[in-house]
Amino acid sequence: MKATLMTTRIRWWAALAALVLATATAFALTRPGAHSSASAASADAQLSVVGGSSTAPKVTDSTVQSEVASAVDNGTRGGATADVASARVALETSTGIKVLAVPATGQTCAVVELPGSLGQGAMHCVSNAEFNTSGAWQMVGAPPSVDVVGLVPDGVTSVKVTFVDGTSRTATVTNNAFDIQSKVASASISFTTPAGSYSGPAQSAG
Amino acid sequence: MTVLSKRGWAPRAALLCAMLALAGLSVGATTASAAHVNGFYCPTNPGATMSLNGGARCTSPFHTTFTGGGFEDVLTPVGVCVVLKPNSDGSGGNIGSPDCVSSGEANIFFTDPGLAGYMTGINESSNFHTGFSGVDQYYTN
Repeated sequence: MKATLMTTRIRWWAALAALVLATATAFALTRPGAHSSASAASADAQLSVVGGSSTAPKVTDSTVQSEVASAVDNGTRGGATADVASARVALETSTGIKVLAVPATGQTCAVVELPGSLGQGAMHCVSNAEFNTSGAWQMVGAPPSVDVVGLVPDGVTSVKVTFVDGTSRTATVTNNAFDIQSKVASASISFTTPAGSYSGPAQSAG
Repeated sequence: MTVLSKRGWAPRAALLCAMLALAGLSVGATTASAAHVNGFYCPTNPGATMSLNGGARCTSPFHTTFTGGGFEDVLTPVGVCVVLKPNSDGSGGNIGSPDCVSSGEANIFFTDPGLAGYMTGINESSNFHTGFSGVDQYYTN
């Protein structure tokens, strides 16, 4: 009788343990953060501004480093780990906008520090493979103050942005970075990489 | 001797209890003042359907200490914006600058202690899409 009772208890505990294990496994596999791309991590970004021979200043402000690391980690797909020690200030505009090049696990992040009292930044991260064909750039602000700003792969010398009013501007690329300012919303962007031409929508908030 | 021993244990136990209580209060206070929350909004899991050309937007609950927010359609590469707004329906003037991308995730962040408002994600495409997901960061106090 006692042996039967003991066997029943062992089976019950085994079943409970299996249920807990199955639930934990299902949670780990289905949560949004589980969708990281292993294949994307295998590519190296063509981003010489963060390389050893770069003369662009490193990001040394610990507050900025912390904010960037936190923002990169908090992505909609589970995030990534930013290599803030390798991050560089690729470009600083006359209006005080700083473009930071931040490598992360399998990703390249274009971080934009905006001037002003709000202490705001903006960021766009893409897989390294995507970066090598289409860059990592974003549209910050709204008319009458829009910046199309970001990073493009090695070998791109200029970037052209067309706006909703039909006008266009071209910017020279410095340290893989560019910034094009406008009073109206942007519509499209184009540039030429060593691998070919890229052209795509660049619809800013209007 | 036994009586003395019991008398000796009472204050020791009281002291131990007091120390444990103080330690508990200390841990609780630290947690309450510095809890940094990484959450999801719109919706709590990826998959929301939104429509149309900048008119469709979804918002997070109100917080006074937003330090960051992101927005993306995780299923379809469409244009999105993320911006902090003063109203619960995502209307009103922008608090800070919106960040927009033609695909992937748009992100904004603010220095501590953050800003108040509703983190708002906007579908900038001209079609209905599913798969929208937003993330936000804020302090609980």
